[in-house]
Amino acid sequence: MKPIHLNLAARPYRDYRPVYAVVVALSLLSAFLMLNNIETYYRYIHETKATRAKIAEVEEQARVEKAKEDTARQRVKGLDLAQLDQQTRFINAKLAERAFSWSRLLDELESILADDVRLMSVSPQFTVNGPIPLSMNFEAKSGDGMITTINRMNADPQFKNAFPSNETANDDGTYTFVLSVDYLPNAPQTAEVLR
Amino acid sequence: MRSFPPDVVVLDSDSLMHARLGRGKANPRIVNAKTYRLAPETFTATPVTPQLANEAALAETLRRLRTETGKWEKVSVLLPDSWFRINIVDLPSIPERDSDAMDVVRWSLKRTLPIPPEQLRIAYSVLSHAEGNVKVLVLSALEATLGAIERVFAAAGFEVVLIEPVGLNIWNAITVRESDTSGDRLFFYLRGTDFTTAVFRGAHPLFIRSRNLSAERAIDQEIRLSASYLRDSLNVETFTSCYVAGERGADIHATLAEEFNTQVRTVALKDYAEDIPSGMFGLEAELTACTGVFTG
Repeated sequence: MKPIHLNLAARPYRDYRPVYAVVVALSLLSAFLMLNNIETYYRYIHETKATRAKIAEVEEQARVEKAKEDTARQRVKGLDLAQLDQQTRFINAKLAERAFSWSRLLDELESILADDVRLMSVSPQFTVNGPIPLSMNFEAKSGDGMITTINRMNADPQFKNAFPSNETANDDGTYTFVLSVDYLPNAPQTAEVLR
Repeated sequence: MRSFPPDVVVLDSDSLMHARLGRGKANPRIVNAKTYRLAPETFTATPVTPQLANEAALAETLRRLRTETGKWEKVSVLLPDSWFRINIVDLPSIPERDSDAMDVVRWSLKRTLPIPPEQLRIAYSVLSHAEGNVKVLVLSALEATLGAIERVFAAAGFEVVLIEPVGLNIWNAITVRESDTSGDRLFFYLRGTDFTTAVFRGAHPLFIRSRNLSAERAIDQEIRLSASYLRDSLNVETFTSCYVAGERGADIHATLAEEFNTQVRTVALKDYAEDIPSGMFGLEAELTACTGVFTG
């Protein structure tokens, strides 16, 4: 059973042992956790040494590459791009001109021209890809020569957008006319179409 | 269970006993106990608590105690029951604030004491709290005496952490070793010049009285008067147990058994302490009280 205490002391006894026990327990826990933190720190330093060296190496590489990129960017900034573009276009045009097959064009024109129509001149404008605009002068013995030529060009897959610029009736009874047309060298030839 | 520090001083008008207790297997061990005689007239009689008239005599005894026992500080001081007033007071209510409650308790003592309550140091414990009736156990003693004792102890390097009656702690030594009961138990503590009677119902005191013995009224007469009062006022006819402590306890066994119709048990130190040093004759009750203070 519980005792009865009616303490008349001016400064009655307080049992601080549970408080001290808690303080000691917390101190020990704090010390243990602190030691654990130190051990974890040293383990981290030791175990991640190789990884951290590799990270530093990669970071150094990245820094060097970044410096190279910056240098290249500076060099690109210093280039006259408009002139370079112009030069590139000129070179490409020259390459396209060299690659152009005149014989093939003439063969194709030969296959579509009527008997009473002859080609006087042809001037292509070379492009790298796509259709090559042609400006052609013809002479025909009859007034139907231009219409016949346009119709035949329209029927040929290697020619597109045939359009007359002018037609002149000459004093000697012949007709001269100018046609502009887009030439598609890579389209199937007339012979292939016919086949 | 709460335990006080192991050093206990039992102070009386003519002597001082120091006991040092230690933890034992089942009960506390008496590590050391020694009695020191006080110079005559160290304490002089006053209506409630004797007055410390000769502080130097007590200081000299404490100096000897300090020399013989070495360095220690916290001490519980047990004083004779007759140095206190123990009252069970009925109050209509008690304030929640401690200071207000203490004022109410102090005021309630006004009718029962021959001195102004302002001169008392008081401790109380609420025993029961019913609607319109609060039963309070109040312990009081003269502030001047207790203050003087604490001052002399402090000057000798001792910190007094407990001041209580010897009888109350004999009862504590008994009751902490008993299992819960709701029965009525009777306790007698008999000394050469005074005695204490107490009745406990379960853990709560029903009746506590401490009186000086006089030439006009013998102890047997006092017991019969108490028995008559208990039968009439408290309606208590018989007790589950009756404990008797004190040197002269054996003298009253027959009277107690006859009046209260119960088995009477002597409080023997060997039942409450281990490793009792030899030569402790006449100090059994006081050392038993020490085991009610230091419980291990």
